[in-house]
Amino acid sequence: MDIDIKILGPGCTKCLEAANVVRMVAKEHGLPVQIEKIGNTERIAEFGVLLTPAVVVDGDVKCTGRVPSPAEVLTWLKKAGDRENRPV
Amino acid sequence: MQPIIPIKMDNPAPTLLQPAPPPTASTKIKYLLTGLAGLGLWFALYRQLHSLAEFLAFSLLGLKPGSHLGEAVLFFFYDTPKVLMLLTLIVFAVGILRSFFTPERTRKILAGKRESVGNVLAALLGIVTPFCSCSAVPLFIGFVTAGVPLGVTFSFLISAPMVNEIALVLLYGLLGWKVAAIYLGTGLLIAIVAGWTIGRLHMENHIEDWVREMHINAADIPDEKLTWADRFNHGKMAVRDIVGRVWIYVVAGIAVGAGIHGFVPEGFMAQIMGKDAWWSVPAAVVIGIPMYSNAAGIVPVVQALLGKGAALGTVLAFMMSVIALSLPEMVILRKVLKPRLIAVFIGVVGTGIMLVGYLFNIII
Repeated sequence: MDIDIKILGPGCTKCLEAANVVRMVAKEHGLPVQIEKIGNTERIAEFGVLLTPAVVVDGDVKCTGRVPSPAEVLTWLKKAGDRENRPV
Repeated sequence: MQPIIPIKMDNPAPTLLQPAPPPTASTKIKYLLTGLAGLGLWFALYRQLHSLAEFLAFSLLGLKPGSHLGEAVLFFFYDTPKVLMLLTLIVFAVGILRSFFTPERTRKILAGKRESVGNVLAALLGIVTPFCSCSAVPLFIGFVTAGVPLGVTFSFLISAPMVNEIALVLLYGLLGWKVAAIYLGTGLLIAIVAGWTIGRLHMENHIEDWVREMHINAADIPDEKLTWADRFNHGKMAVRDIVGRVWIYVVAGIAVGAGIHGFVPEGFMAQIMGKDAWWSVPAAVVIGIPMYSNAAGIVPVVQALLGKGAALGTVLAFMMSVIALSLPEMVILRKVLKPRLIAVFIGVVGTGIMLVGYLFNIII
């Protein structure tokens, strides 16, 4: 199953950058991801996020208010990928 | 939902979460030394700016000192690098400072605080907490649903955009530390008093219903453990982000300012923006609301206006109105606030700005 990624943000340049970093890392390492961009205020608030952009991996908010580094994204994706294969 | 697996940064397993090496004494010293060397270089260059500008304007371009054009060009060549250098230094320092504050931490401090104390704290935290007006709505919801009183939330929302490092640096660089201090003091005061007033009016039922009905769990974001390398990086990113975004406004603002400086006759503004025109303060506030500019673009123009006889109070009121009350922000906030609360917000903050304007026109 694809790793479920949500990018929260109204569509500012930083949100696009955050989505690009995730896409790039996933492609580079051949990890299957499904990226969804959420710009709706109500839904952003539901995640309890105070600053955008935010990156959500499998329902967990991983970072807020900044564009994550590729290294960070890789660790999140690897972890999520491991979880897919070995049920906890 | 997947079960949340808490990430403990202090246990040895997920070391790959921290690409940077742990802070040893030697890396700390390395950063300290690099910082000091950079600061020394910065000061050496900064002190040469005036002679450099004179050389460019008078020796290289051959303009006559004292002539209209000569003075305008000198002003431009001196003030542009000066302001940009100040901006870079302060934005870097504030970027590092801000890595110690997150909105989540600020919210934790403010939740459940009594109103008066809360208003003061919120206004102060507004200066150092990273904030961008595009996040105003999620932040508002996050604060209010976590039990931060409405008035305290407003103190934060007023202070965060109005009292910021960019405005203060530009005021300091172009108008001196006294004006910068006045702006800092009165800006905080407006944020505290306006927030407190809105709290007194008990307008909680003028928040949109869907917000009040929301039950959200604050996101469980692992507190990042930052190394000094990370904090330096925060500073660098802030410089790239903020200076990269505002330098063009600074240059354009100073160019307009230089034009006014060299060519508009002395005392020209005294009639329309001087102390004696009582209506100029409210007019400045009203004109400022639909105008949307950041501090970077407005301060150089403000400086030039002051030089031509405009009164300080009027000009400060204009600047605060442009920065703190902006139409786009009202449109964003309309999603969570009913029209009456928005009207009260504009009314209370606008009145505060006006009082500050009159006050300074009287005492200075």
